[in-house]
Amino acid sequence: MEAPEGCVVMNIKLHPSDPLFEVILKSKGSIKTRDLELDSTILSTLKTNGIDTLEPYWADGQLLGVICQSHQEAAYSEDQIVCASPTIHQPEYRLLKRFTVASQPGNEISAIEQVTTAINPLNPSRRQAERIKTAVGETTMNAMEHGNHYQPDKPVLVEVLVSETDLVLLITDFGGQNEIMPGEHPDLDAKLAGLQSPRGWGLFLIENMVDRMKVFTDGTFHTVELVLRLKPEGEA
Amino acid sequence: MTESPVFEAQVQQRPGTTFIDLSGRIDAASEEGLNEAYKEAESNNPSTIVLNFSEVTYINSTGIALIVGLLAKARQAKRKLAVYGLSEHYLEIFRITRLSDFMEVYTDET
Repeated sequence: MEAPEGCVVMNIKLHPSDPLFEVILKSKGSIKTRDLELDSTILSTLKTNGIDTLEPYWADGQLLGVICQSHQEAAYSEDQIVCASPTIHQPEYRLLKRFTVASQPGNEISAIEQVTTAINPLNPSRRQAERIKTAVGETTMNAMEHGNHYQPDKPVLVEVLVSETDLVLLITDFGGQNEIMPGEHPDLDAKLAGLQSPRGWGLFLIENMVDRMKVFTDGTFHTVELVLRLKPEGEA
Repeated sequence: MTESPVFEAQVQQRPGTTFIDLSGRIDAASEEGLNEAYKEAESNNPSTIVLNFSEVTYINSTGIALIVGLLAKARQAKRKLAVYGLSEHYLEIFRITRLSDFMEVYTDET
């Protein structure tokens, strides 16, 4: 395949366990990632044909774009080539770190450590840092347990992004097919009376640690977006 | 959090009150150790058991659930459960979970 001008083609085959694969496939419609833009029509066409090969375009260690190709060579057309250029796309958010952890008990500690290291240059207050640790730990635990059922070959993808005012954490698991049941609101009186399990605090803690939380599912992946304001409105 | 050591608990019996000095992480891995320490603490039938969190570096939702379990046991035995040494962050978590409505929260051992 010939690369469009400004893109570099690398023959890398990505598998579902590869974080980049998840980044591309986890969104429907106009993809959200701050590194690349995929038009919804093109994405839909790719999904219909089945994406087999994804070729990322990197510069200075940052993912700048992706060239996607249907595995059905006969169906290949210019419409199915997607690329993004840093000169075209000015991301509002800057990617600080992207990593995965295997779904094994205790690995939320590794996620917390890596996020803590990534946000250190932002000089968060002690309160912010502690809240981020709790939110990341609980969300990663939920992803490993409820999304990936602690299957080590199903990693949890963690992305740390920052804008002028916000820190955004995206935590993705393979639970996109799971039906999300509304959780029981933890009630300490009920727990002490034996009417509720003592457990079930995770989501409650997450919601109380962040300024905004959103959940996205696309049939394969389940992403929790956590937003923490680093600066008050108007101080950007 | 490589600085977070694994969980440890030391029980100190004093007249009428037993202290459990906790350190490290309070999470799923600490369940057995925490419950054993609590069992040892209540063996002298103290009126109050005090959990010392001064050296605790991390408490997650499972750890909160374990503390809820200890509180339920204490209330069943008509025993007071108190805490001290919580960091600002975990004081906030004790407030939002309402644990602090059911346990006396002290800033120090005295």
